[in-house]
Amino acid sequence: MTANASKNKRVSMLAEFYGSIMLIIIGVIVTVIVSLFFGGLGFWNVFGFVMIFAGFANIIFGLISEKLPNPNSTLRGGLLIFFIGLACLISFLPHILLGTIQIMTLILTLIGLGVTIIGVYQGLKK
Amino acid sequence: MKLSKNQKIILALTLVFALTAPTVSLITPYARGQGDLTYIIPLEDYLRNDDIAAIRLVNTLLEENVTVHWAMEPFTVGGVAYPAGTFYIETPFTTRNNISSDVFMEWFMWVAKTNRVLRVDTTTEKITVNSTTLVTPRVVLFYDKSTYDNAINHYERFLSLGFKVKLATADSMVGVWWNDTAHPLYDANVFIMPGGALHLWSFGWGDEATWAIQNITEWVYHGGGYVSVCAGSSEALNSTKTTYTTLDLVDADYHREWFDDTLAPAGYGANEWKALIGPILISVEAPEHPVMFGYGENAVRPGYGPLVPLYYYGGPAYTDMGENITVLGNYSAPISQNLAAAGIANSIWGEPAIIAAQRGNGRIVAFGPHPEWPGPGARLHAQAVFWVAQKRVDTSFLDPASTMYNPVEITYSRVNSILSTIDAVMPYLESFTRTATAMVNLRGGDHYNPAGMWFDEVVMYYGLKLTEHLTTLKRDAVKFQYEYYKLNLLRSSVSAKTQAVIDYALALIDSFFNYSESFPVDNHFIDDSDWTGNVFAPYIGDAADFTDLLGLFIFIENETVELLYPSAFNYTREYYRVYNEILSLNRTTPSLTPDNATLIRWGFDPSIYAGSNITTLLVDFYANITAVWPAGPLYKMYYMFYHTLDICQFKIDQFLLNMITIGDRIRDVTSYLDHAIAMEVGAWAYAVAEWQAAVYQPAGALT
Repeated sequence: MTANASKNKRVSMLAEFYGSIMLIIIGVIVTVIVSLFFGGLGFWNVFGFVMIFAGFANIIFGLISEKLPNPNSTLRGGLLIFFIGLACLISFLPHILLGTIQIMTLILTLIGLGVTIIGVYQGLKK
Repeated sequence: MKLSKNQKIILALTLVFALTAPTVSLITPYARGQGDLTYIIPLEDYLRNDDIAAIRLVNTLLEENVTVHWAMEPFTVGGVAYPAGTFYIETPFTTRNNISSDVFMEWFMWVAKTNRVLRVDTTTEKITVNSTTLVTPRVVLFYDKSTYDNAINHYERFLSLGFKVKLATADSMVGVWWNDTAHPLYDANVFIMPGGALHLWSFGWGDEATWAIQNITEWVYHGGGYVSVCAGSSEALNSTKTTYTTLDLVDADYHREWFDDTLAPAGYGANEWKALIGPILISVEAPEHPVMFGYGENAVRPGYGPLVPLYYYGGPAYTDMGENITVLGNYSAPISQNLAAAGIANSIWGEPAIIAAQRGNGRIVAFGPHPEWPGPGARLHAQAVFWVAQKRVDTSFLDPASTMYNPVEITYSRVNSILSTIDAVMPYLESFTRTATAMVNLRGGDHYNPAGMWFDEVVMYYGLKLTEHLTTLKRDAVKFQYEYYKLNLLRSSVSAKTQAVIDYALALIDSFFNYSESFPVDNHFIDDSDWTGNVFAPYIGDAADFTDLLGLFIFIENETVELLYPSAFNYTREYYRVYNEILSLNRTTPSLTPDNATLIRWGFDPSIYAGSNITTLLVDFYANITAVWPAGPLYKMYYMFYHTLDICQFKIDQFLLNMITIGDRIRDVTSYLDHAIAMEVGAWAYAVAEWQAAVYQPAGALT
């Protein structure tokens, strides 16, 4: 890796880190405003929670990929799907009539978990 | 990615910050419905709460016999101040379908959130304010000739507010006593008289008409509520004072002189009130009166005060008022009207526009302007209904005759008879509406012009509304088939108590399809000719069921294309344009004497009118056009429009609206029932039933 390429990678990782932090902060602000406006936890929180969870998925990917010999996009995708699925599941769980969408987001979360495991497996390969 | 020390600190701070999101979500109150709470609906929170949706929720509660309190004074609870007019509900209770408040209010909170009533406060404190317990309004809407489009406006406004409206034609009110079970007002507590004109003529003449009119007066006297708008308000006034037949409910007269043809030269029909048609401002005179809660000087909601814009269409301004009358609002100022043309009608400003009155045990609210039109009048109208509804009527005319479990399948053929009829009707309805639009584009139907045809826009309006109503029913038919299937699937998984509610819902859905398969008889007579001498195409007969409607649509389409449009075209060319030409000359050169060629072109006999000046010609021309007997061209046009509109109103839309009302009740019931079932069987078991039903009824599931 040339010095320039290494520097570019560093810059892009930094941008990703601070981008994720910003995403989380915006997500928190959205969640707080929507929660106060609608009152409590419910489907209305889905947008804010997705932002927060996606931000954390990105940061966790950055931290894990450092430890893996072969970081890959499958792992990143898996983490994102898993965390976004979780965000949706939490938002929809309080509502008894949203069983269908709860099952769908549970399936999404499980798919995300599966893809993450595949990603970790591939990442461990040298 | 290896984090530096600074990045680790930032990440830690972000983590802590991120915790505020779930914390705020969990600590802000989202009342779950359980426990003994009092629920308060703050109507004044206009950012979070839509007041029409909130009133709709109140009506749904009332339909289920839930006690809803209406605060008559401001109060403070839990440090929050609420104005007079706030609704609150105390738990525990059990609905008339035997659902506990824990389940019902859980649904309530969900449906409130999904219908833009985002803020419902809860408290464990006992509210001790002076309040009224709302009586479930059982609303009857007068649905007859001359109420055409205004009856639809009223119906749709009340539908959006959650009132379940029963339509009453004049025929159904004739020949039977008000306290007879056959009388439409028997199981009602509010009678709505919409705008229009000469409603009482619908009862015909002689003793029977007197009896029908007296019936309404008696019914109000014995505790009924009367809410009227525009012409309906004029008809509530004192017959001795107004000098014509009225219902004699309110001891007052109105400024009749504004409706006289007084602009110079007299005799050409320039009634001054026409210049005032349009939005006007109303000043609130009694903000402490329940009908006016939320309006006036201290109004929070935009448009609710200090001045309230409402639409004016020639309604009364009251005068010579006796006792037991409260002035709620006055005409305050115009918004866009041309006052120079309004003459003495300028004196409308400062005169009473909305009044509340007492007659025996009954209450009356009479609106001069139109609260049912788009604008801030919805809450006003609903509060008027709540205020006049005093007599308890526990049964609803929508309740199915039997709620015993009777698994009559909603077969595809039952649904298809509605869907295929609507599909077949649409091309004719489209042609009807297009022709009506072309008629409006002739510009001969001007409400401001004394020789305007008026009802062309109403025909077009019916075209648009019938399309909307049929579209609603198409959606309802497939939706209810799906709901029926789903409820049947779930019936064996729930408790006996919930099964009883399911049976009620199934019977309701069945009644929707039953109605479409056997329309009640409508006694309104459609003649092939009328006393003006016009002969219409032979009337094909009433629809016995939904599929028969196709023939009626073909009939009105044919009548509009073959009769109405050519007549309107000729009227506009031969009378309306000539009238306007003479009217225009009267403004500039009234003493001009036209030559013979011009007189012939205008349709005057030169041997009689040679040498006559423009003013004389204008007055005579107007008199000829508007002759009542033998009918002049204007009245002939009116009767042709009436013929088509009567068929639209009585023979078509009446049935569609009745079906929409049943559908509206079904939507309410299935909404809380679905929620109650899901609470009993669990969200995922309910979802599985949804999917199972969706496989069999995919169209309904997606609707």
